[in-house]
Amino acid sequence: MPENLKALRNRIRSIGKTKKITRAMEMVSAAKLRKYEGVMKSTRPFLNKIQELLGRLALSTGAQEHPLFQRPETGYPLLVFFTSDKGLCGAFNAHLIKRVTRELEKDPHLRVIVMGRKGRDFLRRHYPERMEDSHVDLGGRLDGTWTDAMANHLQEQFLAGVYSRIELLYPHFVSTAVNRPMLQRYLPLEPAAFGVSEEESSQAIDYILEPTPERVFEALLPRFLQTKVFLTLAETYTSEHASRMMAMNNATKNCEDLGSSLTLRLNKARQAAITTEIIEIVSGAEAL
Amino acid sequence: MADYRLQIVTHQRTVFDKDVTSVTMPGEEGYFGVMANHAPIIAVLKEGNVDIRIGKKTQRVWISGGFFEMESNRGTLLTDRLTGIDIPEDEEDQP
Repeated sequence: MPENLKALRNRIRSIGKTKKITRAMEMVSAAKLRKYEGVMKSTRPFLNKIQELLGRLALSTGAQEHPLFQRPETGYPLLVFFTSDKGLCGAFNAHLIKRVTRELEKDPHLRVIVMGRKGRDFLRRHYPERMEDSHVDLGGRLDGTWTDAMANHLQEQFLAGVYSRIELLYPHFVSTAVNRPMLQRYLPLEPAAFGVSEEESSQAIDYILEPTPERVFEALLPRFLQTKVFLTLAETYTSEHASRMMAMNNATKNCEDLGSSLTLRLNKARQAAITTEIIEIVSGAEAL
Repeated sequence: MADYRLQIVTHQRTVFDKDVTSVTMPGEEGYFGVMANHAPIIAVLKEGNVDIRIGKKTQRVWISGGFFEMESNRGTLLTDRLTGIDIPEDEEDQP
């Protein structure tokens, strides 16, 4: 079983290089994760504030009359599906794709607007007729232009009666190690979703609305919807980089394990070769 | 004079969270001021200056529009952009 020493050395060297790459990718993802997590954590209070406000407002006025609270008679349901552009992030996209497949099978009328190359490629291959639109190469930008445009588009189409309901499917960030696909209602708005408790609903506050109740809704609702898309995108990025960091961390560990087991094999093979050589020399000398 | 709690929250972070005496801000139909114990109000704000008075000192900030809510002596001002407050400059401001 003389192992090929040269081949072993080559493999050890190449694994060492792979390890350097995966470690670098891990560190890049860790830095990006921190960045997006910061954005996410600081946007959440803003959304919560608007949500609280809307919740209390919905109780004290005839908010439920607003068209954004109504379920239209016409149209088809829409899913806005968030995935990543790039791979190498473990089972991140696989979980999301599994979930979107389930939703698509459940409701034959459901159509999808997809964000991210991985999701788009999947839908293009398996459900091309169900994919309404796709957005790729956002490149991790999070400046609000895309999210505001998206939110406005969704709102317009919803009010025009194109969509009967809109849901968001995105990777919910639980912790660095865990994120899971989450389906969330986007439109029509439900007062229950604003997190107003039974207790609070009994003591509705009589707000003064400046300048007019209509104007307040007109201003507040789109802002709420825009912020929601923004936060969802931030959460998608955060989860993506968390997943990639974990995947690259595992890859680095694997490289280490593989490297040490290969080094062990190399040393054994080298010793075996030396032993054989000595035996050959000794027996050669004895023969003389 | 009585004070009340004012929070100013933007997209990015809570930039202000202090007790204030009164706040004057640009409502859609003109500037108005809010002091402590004001009735519950929700107002849409347009672009303009906000004067925050704490005791005898006044601080002026500019906002790009937003909302103001006041309920049981807790004021919240939601805005997209503002300048004038010494916001701790965040190195990771925007990607």
